[in-house]
Amino acid sequence: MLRTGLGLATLAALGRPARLLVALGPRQQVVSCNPKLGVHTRLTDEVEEWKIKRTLSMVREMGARWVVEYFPWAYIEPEPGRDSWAHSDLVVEHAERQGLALIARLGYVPAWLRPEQSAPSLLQAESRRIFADFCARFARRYRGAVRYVIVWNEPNLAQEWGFRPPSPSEYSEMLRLCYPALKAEDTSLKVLAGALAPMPSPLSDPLAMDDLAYLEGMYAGGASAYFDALAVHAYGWAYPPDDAPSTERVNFRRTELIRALMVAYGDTGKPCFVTEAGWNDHPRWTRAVSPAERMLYTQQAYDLALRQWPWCEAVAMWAFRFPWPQRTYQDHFSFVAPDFTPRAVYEAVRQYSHQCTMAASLRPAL
Amino acid sequence: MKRRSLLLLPAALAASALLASACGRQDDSLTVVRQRGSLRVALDPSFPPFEMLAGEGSLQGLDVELAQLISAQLGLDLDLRSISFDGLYDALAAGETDVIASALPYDPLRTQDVRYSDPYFEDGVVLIAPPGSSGDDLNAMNGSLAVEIGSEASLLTRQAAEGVTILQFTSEPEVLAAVWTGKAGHGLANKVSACLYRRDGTSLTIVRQVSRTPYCLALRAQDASLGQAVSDALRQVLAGDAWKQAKTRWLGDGC
Repeated sequence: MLRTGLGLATLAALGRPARLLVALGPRQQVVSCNPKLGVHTRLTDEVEEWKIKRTLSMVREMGARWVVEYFPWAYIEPEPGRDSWAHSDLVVEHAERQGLALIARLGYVPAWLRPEQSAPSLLQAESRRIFADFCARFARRYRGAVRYVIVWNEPNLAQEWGFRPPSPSEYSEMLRLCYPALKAEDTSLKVLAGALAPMPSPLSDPLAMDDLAYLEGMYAGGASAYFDALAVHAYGWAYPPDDAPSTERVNFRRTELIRALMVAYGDTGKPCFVTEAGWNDHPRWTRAVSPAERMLYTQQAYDLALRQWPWCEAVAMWAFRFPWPQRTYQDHFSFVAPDFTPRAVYEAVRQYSHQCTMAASLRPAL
Repeated sequence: MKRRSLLLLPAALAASALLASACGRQDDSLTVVRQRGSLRVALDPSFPPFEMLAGEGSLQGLDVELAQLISAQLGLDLDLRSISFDGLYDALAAGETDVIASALPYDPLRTQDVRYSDPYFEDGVVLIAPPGSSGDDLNAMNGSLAVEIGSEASLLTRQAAEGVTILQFTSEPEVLAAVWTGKAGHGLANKVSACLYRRDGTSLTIVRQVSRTPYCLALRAQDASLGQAVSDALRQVLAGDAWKQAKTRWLGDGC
C-alpha cells in the first residue's frame, strides 16, 4: 500500500512542470555616487522568484541602495496563529544578496481580525496588541537582515485608517505598543513612524487630516518616545523639486516643513527617510508632468536630498515596477514595465547614479 | 406554457433561496439602495475631462454627468463621493460607496471581488495624421512618426517599419502640433488628448486606435441585483441623446 502510494506520488511529481531553479547568486554591491538613492519596490503580489530576483538586480544596476517594500500582515498570517513566511523570505534574501538596504513596511489587517465588509486598513483598538505581536514576530524572523521597519502607512487618511476619522492619538497608541515589541526582538532595529500623506486639508475634513497638524498631534500624544526615525512621503505633483515649501501645496520640499516640526519638538537627532516620492508622467492626470520633466525632476530630487538634506538618509521613489499593469495612471509612476522593459526615467537615473551629474536639458540622450 | 411557468415558480423560488442560503448571503443590494433613495458614486476628481473640481469646489466632468444620468434612470438621488484613486476599491469593499465611476479601466484580475459594467468609453493610444489624411497602416507608412519622449506611445514605435523616421518631442502638445501642421506625417498620442486637441479647433485626423483601455463602472461582485439594475440603466443611458451630447461637450465630435 505504502509502495503504491509512493509510486503514485512519484508519478504525480513527474507530471508537474519542473520548478524553475533560481539561485540567490553571489553577493553584489551597489555602485552609486549617491548613497541616498532608493526606490519603493512592489513585490507584494509577485509570485515568481525569478521576477523578484530580476526586479531587485535591476534596482541595484540603476544605482539604488535602498528599497522599501510592503509586507502585508494578512498575507503572512492568513489564519490566526499560522504564519507563512515563504514569500517574504524570498524578498528579504534576494534584497540582501543584491546588496540592498531593505526598509519593511508593515500593515494590512487580516480578514479574520476585522468585521465582514471592512477595509484591510481597519485595526480596531482591541486588536492593536495582536498587531504588535505580529511586528515582534517579523523582527525576530529577520533580525540582522531587516534593519528598518515602518509601522503602518499614511494614518492621516481615512482610507488608511479603516474609513474612520484619522486620529493622531490612536496612532500614537499603536506606536506605543509596537515600538517596544519590535525593540525587544532586535535592539538595533530602527523603527520608523508611518509616513503621512502630504495633505494640506482643513481639519474639519473627515476623510483626511493635514499632515503637519497630524504630526503635531502625534507629538502632543507622546509618540516621540516610540519611533527612531520618521518616514516621509514627498510627492512632487506638478512642481519641480526645488519648488519652495508651502503649507498650502504638495511638493517635494514639503518634507522640509515636516523636518521643521521635528526640530521644533526636539527630535533633531532623528533622521527622516523618504519612503515614497516622485513624479507621474500620465498624459492627463492633473498632478502629472511630462516624461521628460519627470526624468529631470527625479534626478534633481535625488541630488537635492544628497546635497541639502543632511537629516535625510534615503529617498525611495514610488514605484519601481508593478507585477502586472495597473491599467491606470499608477503605471506612470513606474520605472520599469511589468515585462521588465526599462522606462526612460530608469535610464535617466542609472546615468545620474554614475557621476551625480544631471541632464543639461529636458532632452536627455536616450 | 404560462401554466407550466407558474407551476415551476415555487421550485424556482426554493432553488434561488437555497442558492442564496448556500452562498451565505442574501443579495438585497438593490433594495437597500432603493430604501435609502440615493445611489452613492465614488470618484477621484483629478482626471479631466472625466472628473475634476470646478472653481467653486463642485464636481464636474463626463463621469459626473454619467452618474447623474444613471441615477436619474434608476429614479434615485445621486450622492457623489470624492475619494482618492488609491482608495476607490477599498471604499467599495468597505461599503462606503455603491459604484465607482472614475475613468476606471477594466481589470481582469479583480473580477472575483468586483463586478464591472460594459465599457462606456475606450481610451488608449491613437494614430493621428494631419487634417485630411487617411493612411492607416503604421508599418506601411513612408515618412515620419511623432512621439513624446518616454511616453507609452514611444514604446509602441518599435512596431514601426524600417524607414520610418521617429521624431521625438518633449511634450504631447508638441506632438499634436507637429502632426496638425504637417511637420510629421503621423503621430502617436493619447486618445483623449487628441480628442481635446480636435475639440479645441484643429481638424487633426484620428486614423485608428492602437491600444485600448476600456473604462467601466465598478460594483461589489456580490451586489448582483444592484449590478444588474445599474448595467440596464447604463445601456439605456448610452443609447440616449443626453449621453451623446455630454460626450460631445466634453470630448468633441467623433470621440
